[in-house]
Amino acid sequence: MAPDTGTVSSQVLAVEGLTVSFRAVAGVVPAVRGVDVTVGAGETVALVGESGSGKSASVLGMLGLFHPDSAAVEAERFEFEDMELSAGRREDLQDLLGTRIGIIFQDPQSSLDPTMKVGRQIAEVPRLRLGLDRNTVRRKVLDSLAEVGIRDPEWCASAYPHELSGGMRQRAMIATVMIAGPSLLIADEPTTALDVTLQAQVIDLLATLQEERGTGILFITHDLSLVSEFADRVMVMYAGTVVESGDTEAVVNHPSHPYTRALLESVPRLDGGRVRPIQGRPPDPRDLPSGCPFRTRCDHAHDRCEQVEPPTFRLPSGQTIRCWLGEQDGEPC
Amino acid sequence: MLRFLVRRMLHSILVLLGVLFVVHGLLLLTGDPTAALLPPDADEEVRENLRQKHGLDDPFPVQYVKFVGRAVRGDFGDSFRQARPAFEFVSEKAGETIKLGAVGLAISLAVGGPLGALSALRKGTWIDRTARMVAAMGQAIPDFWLGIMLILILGVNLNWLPISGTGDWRHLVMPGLVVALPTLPAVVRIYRSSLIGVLDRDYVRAARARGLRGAQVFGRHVARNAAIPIVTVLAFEVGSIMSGALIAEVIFAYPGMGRVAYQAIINRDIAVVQAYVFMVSLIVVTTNMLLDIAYSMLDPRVRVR
Repeated sequence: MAPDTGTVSSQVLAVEGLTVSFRAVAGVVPAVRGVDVTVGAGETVALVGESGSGKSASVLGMLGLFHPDSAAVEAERFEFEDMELSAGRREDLQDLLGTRIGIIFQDPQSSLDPTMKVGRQIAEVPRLRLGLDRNTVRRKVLDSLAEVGIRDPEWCASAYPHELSGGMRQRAMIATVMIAGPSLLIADEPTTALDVTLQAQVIDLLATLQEERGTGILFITHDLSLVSEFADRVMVMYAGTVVESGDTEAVVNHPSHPYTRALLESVPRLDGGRVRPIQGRPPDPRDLPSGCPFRTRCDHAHDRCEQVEPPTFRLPSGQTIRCWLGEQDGEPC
Repeated sequence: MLRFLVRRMLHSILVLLGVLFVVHGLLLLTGDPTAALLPPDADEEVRENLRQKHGLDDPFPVQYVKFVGRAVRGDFGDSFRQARPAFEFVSEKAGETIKLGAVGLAISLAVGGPLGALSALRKGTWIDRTARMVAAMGQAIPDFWLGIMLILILGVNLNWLPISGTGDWRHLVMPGLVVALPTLPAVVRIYRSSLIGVLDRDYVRAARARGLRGAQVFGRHVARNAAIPIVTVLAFEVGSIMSGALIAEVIFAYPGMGRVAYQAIINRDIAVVQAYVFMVSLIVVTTNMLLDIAYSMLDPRVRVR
């Protein structure tokens, strides 16, 4: 899926210093504490982390999909294509969502309205957002269904979601999102609810669509092994910060943050290597430990980790890590 | 769809047979009908004649079968008081009652629906609290009391609306409100809670993520999905609408079959009461069938192919 040139021609999305805080009864919960994300045209960036790490909150927050009363979103910089926007402002994003930015959610079963025919749901963006006429919309809907690999688009368009299989539903969901040809596709755990063969099919499909159109993809997942097959870059999130980030090659082959290493070791492998689950649980964002948030579960933790949250270091292997271990060979950045 | 309808109709017929069983049993449970119809000093011979005339001397199963056989043809015998078929008393007034019930239902939906929606969309604000208070009050107020208060205020003091009889639409406003009274709060509550549930659904978030505006998301994805439970509730409410109609008809001297039944009850005209009960169950069963069809139109998942 990597672009042939290896160089990113243009930035689709550039975010710096993103913070998302939820207003809860018990007070303010800092879910995302300073995250930088860039996605280039045709590039696939994976955002990996456990549930509660802030990966979905980052994305939904910056796109203004939380109710403004329930979440406060800020960023030092938020650029989409060449537009300077303010992160999380619904008014800024209203016109981009659905047309320039597409979002696929985890569960295709629940992401499609059960009382509306699939074709009508796919038609919403071209009809309501792009204002195309009825015949053009109809043709586009059938084309997009064919494009996502549905064999009988006519039937599928006039079916209700419950009449489709799980894999078809996710394909239909992808059609609703890709129909306007967005330049950024956000996929929030799009394969988690599917079985393994369907996972592979959906990922292949996304890769094909990306290659044809040069869409930038931000892929949110908890599965680091899934990412290694197709992402250009990986960002590992923990407790609202990015703890390791770099080219997929570097992160997967030379994981340097203890959390990334632990994540990779916790995945079952075919060669029979022992699975080592990560001890403990992710910290409660309302009550983060002092210093490094991972230190309570880390084998390398020492006094300094307890006192000061480590800055980000750039390692010789190319990636950046947010860990004191990086101080030895890395450059602070 | 046809098979669904046929099955549903057979089911309705079964329900009606059950109703007829109870209706007929009622007659016997109220004691010897001849005691109510004849003076206390009537001859035993006269009583026996009356029993024979109405078939009251047959064994119960035979009576029931005969009764059902006649009832399905709309024959509930003559009124015990006037020499006219009992069913006529009811059927000639049924239209007025159905009209009143429909007005009550329309008021419940037209007021309760938006109130519930407002309450859900402004959850936790004063609008929500007011709407819920109105709903609670509606459930607590007895319908006959509301009827009397309406007459007093809108009819007598303000002289805005006629206090009795039929005529144009103005005659339907106050009785309609009385009929709507128990159903309206139910609509507010059910629509509020089901909207709050639907607003949280993934497909609503997905629609917003497609850049649809608030009103588009509401109109296309929220309103319809949230309306499904209302249909279920209405199926239960048809019965209470019919009983509300009886009370409204009596209070407002509205010439419907409820008033006929009320008078028949007072006069112990059991044949007319039986015809009324049968007619009400016919209406309840029919509307329930229509609501089932509405349900399957709203929710394709229950649609029978």
